[in-house]
Amino acid sequence: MVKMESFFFMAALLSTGLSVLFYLWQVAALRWHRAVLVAGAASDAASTVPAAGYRPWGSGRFAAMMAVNGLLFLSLSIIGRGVATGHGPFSNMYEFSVALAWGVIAATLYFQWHYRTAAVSAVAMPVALAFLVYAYTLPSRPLPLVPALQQSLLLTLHVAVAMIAYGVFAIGFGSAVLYLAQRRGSIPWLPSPAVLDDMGYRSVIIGFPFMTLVLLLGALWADVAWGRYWSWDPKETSTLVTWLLYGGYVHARVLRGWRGSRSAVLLILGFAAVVFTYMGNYFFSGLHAYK
Amino acid sequence: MEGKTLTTEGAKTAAARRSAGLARQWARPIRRLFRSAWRVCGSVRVTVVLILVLIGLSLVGTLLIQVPGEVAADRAEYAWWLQNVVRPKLGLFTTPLAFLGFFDVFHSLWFLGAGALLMASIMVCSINRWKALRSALDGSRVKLADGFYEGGSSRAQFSDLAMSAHEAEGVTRGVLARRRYRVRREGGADGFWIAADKNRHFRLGTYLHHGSIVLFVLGFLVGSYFGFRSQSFMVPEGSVREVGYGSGLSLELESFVDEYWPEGPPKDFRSQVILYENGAEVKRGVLRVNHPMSYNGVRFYQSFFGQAAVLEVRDSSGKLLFNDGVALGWLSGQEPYKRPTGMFSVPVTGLTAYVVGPAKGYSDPMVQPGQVLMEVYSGSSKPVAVGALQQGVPKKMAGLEFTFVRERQFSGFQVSRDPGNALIWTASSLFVLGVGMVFYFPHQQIWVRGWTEPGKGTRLRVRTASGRQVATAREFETLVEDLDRELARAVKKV
Amino acid sequence: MRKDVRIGVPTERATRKGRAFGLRDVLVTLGIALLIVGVVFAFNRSKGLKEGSFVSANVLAGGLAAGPAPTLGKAAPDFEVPLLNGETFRLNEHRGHVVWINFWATWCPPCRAEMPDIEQVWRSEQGSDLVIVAVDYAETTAKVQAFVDKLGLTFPIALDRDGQVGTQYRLAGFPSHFFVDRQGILREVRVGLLSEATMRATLQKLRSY
Repeated sequence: MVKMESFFFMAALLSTGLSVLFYLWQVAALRWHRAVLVAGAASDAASTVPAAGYRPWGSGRFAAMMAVNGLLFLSLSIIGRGVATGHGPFSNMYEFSVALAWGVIAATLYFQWHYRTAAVSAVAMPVALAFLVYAYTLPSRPLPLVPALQQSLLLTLHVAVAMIAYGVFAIGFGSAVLYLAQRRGSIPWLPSPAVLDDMGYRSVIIGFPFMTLVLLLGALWADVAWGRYWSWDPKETSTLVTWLLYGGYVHARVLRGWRGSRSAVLLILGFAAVVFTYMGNYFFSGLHAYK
Repeated sequence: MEGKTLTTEGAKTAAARRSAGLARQWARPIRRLFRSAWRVCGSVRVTVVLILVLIGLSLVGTLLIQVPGEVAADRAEYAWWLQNVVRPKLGLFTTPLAFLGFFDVFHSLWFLGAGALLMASIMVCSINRWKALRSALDGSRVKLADGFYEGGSSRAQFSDLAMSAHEAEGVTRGVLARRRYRVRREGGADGFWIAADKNRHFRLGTYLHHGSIVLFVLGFLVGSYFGFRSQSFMVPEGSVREVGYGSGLSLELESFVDEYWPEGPPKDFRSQVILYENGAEVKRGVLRVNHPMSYNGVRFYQSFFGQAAVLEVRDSSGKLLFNDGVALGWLSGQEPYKRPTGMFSVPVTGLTAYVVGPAKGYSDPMVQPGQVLMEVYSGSSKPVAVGALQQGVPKKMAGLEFTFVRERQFSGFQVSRDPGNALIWTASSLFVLGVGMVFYFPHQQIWVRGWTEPGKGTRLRVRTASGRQVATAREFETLVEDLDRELARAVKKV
Repeated sequence: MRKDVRIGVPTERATRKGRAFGLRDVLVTLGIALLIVGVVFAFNRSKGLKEGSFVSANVLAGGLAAGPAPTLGKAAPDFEVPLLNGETFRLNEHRGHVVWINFWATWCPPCRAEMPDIEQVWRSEQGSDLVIVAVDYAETTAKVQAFVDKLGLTFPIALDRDGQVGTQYRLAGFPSHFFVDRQGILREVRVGLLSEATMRATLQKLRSY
């Protein structure tokens, strides 16, 4: 089973790598053709038409196909490993990186399907690839669980919601980066600023409740395992900071009407906090120090 | 008489007037102060600043070494900790950082102050919002000026409809009802007016999750004032220890086992325990990590373990005074020879004895394996007797006979009663519920005006609220699509 | 009927002009998936996939020179060690007995803590088919002798002076217990201190093989 798992992992790594190549290739091709990637490039969404003579081959369809394969193989890999170890992907950094990559690819595909634009995917997929390559360098052999981690249900849920939240926030990051490049709508082959802004907002609308669950399930587990729901453990604290940043984004937007650049910067900061939280166990020790 | 009464009354009114004047004189600045405090608390900018301050302080608390809870409680121990643990690392920065309370950030004045202000600000913002929410719940006026229907962030107009205004209204109301809008209407000779909305009650979710933050704090406060938490409750194998804190509970540890995976990492820590209340057995079972035991709101968690020494003390006549395990639960001495140390009081005699075992993991030059070091004190800081005990060999010390019977293990538990816990989990559920309500069920408002233009047909104007919400635009798109289709169908039928 | 619609904020619908992922795409995707499976499979056949770079502590300690690792259900690796009383202990000479090998050291508190219990079991098993050998890991004879005298232990104590046996048995921690049945098959490995009840239960189980 572990053998199968590493087999699928390799297949997923290959697919994701190819997917990233295709996305980058497509971006280059679009630049070259100065074509319109999506209708909605200019300021008024309804008035734009794809540039004549250029058939954007399916808004990164090949890239998306490879991403679908990546998700498929990664799912098989996670399931295979879960069957072999009897628990969810939460016992070491390898497992968590794979789970995170899964979340990013799934979110990428959902947003690409929903918005029919591959532009943000071209930023988000390299993030997924980075997590996979990082996982490849890590010790992957499953280790037996120490007593505190023998709480399979809660921890699997905890990591599953983290997977979704972080994956979706990667999209928020991608759209924020593109928004900053596209603020004035000057790049014809990118989606309009308004669409990018909306993608960022939607990523938070989806991700924030999940992020809340990450915190609460973690607290619930801590209460069961140690008898205190919150102990200002470094990873807990930085998760809280991440959560506050996204909470701040929502409030700034809804109450103050923050749009565009300012909220894009918040999204980038938020994702930086996500990465910091994820790498956190390397910077400090604490309850989450399972490296 | 009359005159006098008058003067007294006059004096009274003068005094009343004066005090009223005084009150008025003070009332204004107080009201002004209150108002500006209210305004400050209700300001989003202030809230953002508070959140940033809290984030900054949290970062400090994460990156900077923090004092352990039990050390912080004792001034002398805290000073010792600063001097011996922090100063070697941070040097000159130690004093200013300690002055700022940065080694216990989460209990510092800054953190608590910013937290309290944030609470106040959340509450003020929530109250400020009530007016808007109230009118949203009531619904807007149905009949508005004609110009109103030409505004809105998103809007649509259907004209030259080959049907009466009444029929058009029927179609519109059908579409709105199918999309589960609350429809309120007015009609007249010159057409109809509709104000429709849906998900209005979900807006109350904002009170659920903002209120739950206040509930979190309340739960935390209730827990820390009406509960207790002991992080270092140690029971040696074969011994009974009182929990304390007025609980009347005591715990007996029958056996403790620490198991390891063949690869080395720990596999299981379990304590076989019996719980007594006022001396009577009330519960027995196995305590493991992730499997706490609970009795009457007091919860026991497997937390740590270590070595214990079983000791016997007899007086000069040979009468047994003490026969129990002593948990060697803390460390004394310098690196690398940190020695497990424990303490017990010898009954009747008023003596206190310290027991020091050999350092773990090293060949200890001072305390041999199979030995413990004893220091017996009687009140003063100078020991009355010091000596090494060989396992199984009685030794006379301070007029008593001490025997080191054998080594065993002790199990360490976290014991807590947290009456705030229920509040915390209620708050959590409310929070998730509130966020879900507000995020996934946005309030949608639609206004429709329809009238028949002589000779042309019926004209419909549909509009949304004025905010630039994508969710609103999205909903409007589908609504207009539905409306378009249904109107076309109705026209065909007619 | 005339229609005039203005959407105030561009929604994703405005961008949804492209074709969705159709059946053809699904088929192509599956085709590529098979291709990738093929490539990885071929790569796997020729090179072998990495099984993770994890090196367990016991392999690190042992290296490959230490011989085969002890495996449950297989013959326990044979070894020969000097005993404290001057004799020599050799595992394979004890076929027909149940053998309990305990690895310990005097600096290990749980090892010391369980010694009186081992002694208790040993005394009550006098004349039975039980063989106990408590192998001290890499300490001097004098140190071990002093400790054994203090506790008055009577079961055989062995000295693994250079830690060779410990390495061969891939020790992950102290104390470690290996239980070998009458046929010389390794039946049970326990890391960590044992209670007297566990000791007796394990021995009973060992005799049932």
